[in-house]
Parts: sequence; C-alpha cells; structure tokens
Amino acid sequence: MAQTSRLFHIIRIAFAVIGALVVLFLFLNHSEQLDTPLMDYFTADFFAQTGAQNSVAAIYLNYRVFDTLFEALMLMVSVMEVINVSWANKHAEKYQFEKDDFNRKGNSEIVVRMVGIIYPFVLLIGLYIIVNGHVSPGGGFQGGAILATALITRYLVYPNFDLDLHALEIVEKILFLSIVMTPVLYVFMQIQPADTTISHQIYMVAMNSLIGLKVFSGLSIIFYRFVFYEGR
Amino acid sequence: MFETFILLTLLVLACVSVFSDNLRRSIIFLGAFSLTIALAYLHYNAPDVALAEAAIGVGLSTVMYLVALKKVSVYDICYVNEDVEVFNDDQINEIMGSIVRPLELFMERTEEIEPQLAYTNRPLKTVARENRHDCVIHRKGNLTYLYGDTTDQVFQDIVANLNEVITDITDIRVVFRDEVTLDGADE
Amino acid sequence: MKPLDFITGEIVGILLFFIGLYGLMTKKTIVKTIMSMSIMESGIFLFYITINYTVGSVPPIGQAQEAAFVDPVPSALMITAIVIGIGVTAIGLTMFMHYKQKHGITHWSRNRDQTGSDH
Repeated sequence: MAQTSRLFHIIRIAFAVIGALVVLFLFLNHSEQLDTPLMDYFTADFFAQTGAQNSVAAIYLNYRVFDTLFEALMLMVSVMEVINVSWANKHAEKYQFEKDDFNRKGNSEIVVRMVGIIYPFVLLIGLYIIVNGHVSPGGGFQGGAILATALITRYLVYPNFDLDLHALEIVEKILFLSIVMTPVLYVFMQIQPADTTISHQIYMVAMNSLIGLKVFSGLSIIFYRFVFYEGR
Repeated sequence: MFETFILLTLLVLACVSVFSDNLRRSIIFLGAFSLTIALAYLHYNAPDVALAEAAIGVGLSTVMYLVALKKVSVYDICYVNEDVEVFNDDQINEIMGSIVRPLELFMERTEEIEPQLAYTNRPLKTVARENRHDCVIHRKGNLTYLYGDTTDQVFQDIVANLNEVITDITDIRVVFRDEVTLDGADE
Repeated sequence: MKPLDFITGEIVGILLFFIGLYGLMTKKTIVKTIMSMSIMESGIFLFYITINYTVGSVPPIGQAQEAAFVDPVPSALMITAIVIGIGVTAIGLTMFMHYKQKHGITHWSRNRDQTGSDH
C-alpha cells in the first residue's frame, strides 16, 4: 500500500514537471509574434469614439461591452449559488444576534480605533475609484471590491447582523437589469443625442457606478452569507 | 532587476503556499502572493488589473479563506479534570507535555486542522450536555478517558494511532459517545 | 543567454500554472485544492498580461504620446476574469463548508462508507 502510494506520488511529480517542460519548450521554440490588430484599433482613437481617457474602460464599457454583461451575470449566478447552498443547510439556523449594540468585548482596542479612523477614507477611495474610472485607473469592479472590503472592516469592529440581505439581493437584481438595459439602449440601439461629447462621459460614469454598486452588493451578500449562515 | 526579483519572489511564495503543511500559514502566504502579483501587474503597466487584484486577492479572498478555516477546521477539544480546584500553570504544563502537545502535533501533521483547547473542572455531565465538543479528555484519578463520536473521522484516526500519539500515558480508555450513554460510561 | 534572462513573465506564468496543478493533484485537503486553483488562475493572468509587453511602453491612459501604449485588451479581459475568480472561490468555499457540516469530511481521500452520510 505504501509502495503504490509512493509510486503515485512520483508519477504525479513527473507529470507536473514533464508538462511544464513540454509547454515551456513549445512556447520558447514554436511561438510566433502575431500582429495586434485589436490593439491598434482600440488604442487608435478611443477618446473621440467613446469619451473615455482610460482605454481599458473604453474596451470594457464600449467596444466589448458584452464581456461586462456576462461577467455581471456570472457574479449574480455565483451569489445565487451561495444563497441556495446555505438554504439547503437545514441545520444552520440563523444566528442569534445579540441586541447589545456595543458588543465589542472580544475585539482589540487598537483594531477598533484604527478601523474607526480608516473606515471613511476607504469608503471615499472606493467611491473615487468608481466615479473616476474612465479617466484614471480603476472602474466599477475595483471600486466595488474596495467598498466590499470596507464592509468587511466594519464587520471586524461590529460583528452584528443588521444588514437586510434580502433587500440587498433585490437591489442587486435591479442593478443587473439596469446594467443590461443601459448599454443595449445607448450602444447597441444608438439612442444618443447629436453631440455625443458630454453624453459619452455621462454614460461612462453611469455604467461605472451601476457596476460598482452591483459588485459591492454581490460581494457583500457572499461575505455576510458566509459569515452568518454557514457552519456552526 | 526589479522584474526578476518580483518574479522569483512569486515562484517562491507559490511553492511555499502550496507545499506548506499548516493551512493558516499557507493562507497568509497566498495573501502575500497576491500582493506580489499585484506589484508585478503594476510593473507590467496594467494598473487597472493591479487595483483589482489588490482589492480582491489581498483583501476579500484572504478574509474569506480565514473565515472558512475558522468555521470548519477547528477541532474542539475539552479537557475535564474534576479533582482540581483551580487550574494553575504547573498542571497545565504537565497536561501540555503529556497529552495536548503530541495531539496537536499529530493533528497538524496528518489531518491539517487546527486543534482548539479548553480546560475545565466542571463535572463531565454538564460539559457534555451544555457544549458539543468534538473530543473530550476526561482525567479521573489515574485513569484517562477519551470521549468522541464514531462518525468522527478525526477521532477515529486519533484512536487508531493512539499508541504512537500519546506515549507517556499507557492506560487510556476510549469511549464512543454515541454507542455508550454517558451515565453508563461513568461507572 | 544568462540564466536570469530566462525568468520572464510568460515563463513564470507557465511555471505558476504547473505549481498549482501539482498542488491540485497531490494535496488532499479541500481548502488546499481551492487555493491551488487560485494559484493556477494567477499564473494564467500573469501570462496574459505579459504576452504582448514591450519595454518602455506606458499605461493606456490619456492621449497618445511618444511612447507606445501597452496592450489594453488583456487588461480588460483579466479584470473580468479576476472578479469571476473570486466568485469561483466563494462557491468552492461554500460547498466545502456545507460538505463538512453534512458529512464531516475535510479531505478528498476519506472512506465514505464509514461516515454516517445519511444525516
């Protein structure tokens, strides 16, 4: 028994090493430099065409907006999966949350005070990254993730459950619907005013805010489900 | 030079976090790996991706792994000794050397889970009724009892390797809680 | 060719992928499997980011300058991929915790017959 498991171990190591060597050999010897027509097209005139100064934002909000739509759908599906798995968990009744508002016994004083100082700044940088996503690095996904991190730091200080997850879930679905509707109306059906310099920027900011709020609510639903409904 | 340093650090951190035996340590190394790969994205002029990785990989996913580990793989051990009035350091040190430390080492090596210990001198019945510990070590006079469930795989492993795990004490009796009721086991 | 020249972004991406694959094959803890998957994902991201990188280019923000832009297409693809990656991790960890609570299993190699899998 020990002999065979040792043999399997050696086979696994050999498999990984040989696979890495084969892929490296093929990559180093038989890779050819391809042209980059997509890059040339996307970086040539993106400011005039889409109104974004950040060409990554131009790509995922205008040129390849289908990616963003299906990514948002993917995140919503994963949120639904997390919720359904913890519903199937019959034994995990909802935690009994203590009514005491200042239930901070177990927390370190340093963490509580420092998080209290940092918290508004984390919210501020999250909102800044969302709103300025089209002119600087950032955008909806990053800003939403930073906002969700701010919620996690809030959980570190104040581990009570006073969020209405059901309402947050409905908000997430409405946001997904508007994320689908906005590009369909603006980009695909071309419902836009004659002078598009201002309206392009408004579209960018609106889409970034919608995506940011959607990612924020999705990730916080996942985290709070995780903390309060799973396990014992 | 900077690029080479970052890439080598990436390889080292990935290897450490895959090959490490302690789960908590390897989660922390995975967080460091995410931070380093965010630096690498920044070096390769992709600031958007670096921001996303720094927010998601370092902040969110590390916290999620830690929460999952805290909820799942803590093995709850309770040490009961009714004869002791108050636990002082000498007694705890004695238990540490003979039972607790070998058990912890065994668990980290084979099961890759974290044991968590509690000491009490309350009677065994109240402990068993009030809290649902995974494993209860009961010391009564010169005898040592181990209580656990038959459905618990970790407890089965401990029982199977008991001679190698705890070498100092030879007279240990194992009681399966779901086969024998606690009242019968006390006699 | 010096040995340090061999360490480029693409090669390290491939190596990271295979380190993750090795962890996926050998480690028996379920959490370790999920972590290996995220290391594999990181390797793929690094490969994509560095596949069309030229030294001296600038980030693709603002108007065109003298220096060339870096390729924005892989960046835009990888941002969505990272967000999907955290979704996959969350699903994996949720299923793992559910599984542990229902069957008491934290490893792949457990003998399922001995566990009381009915409750």
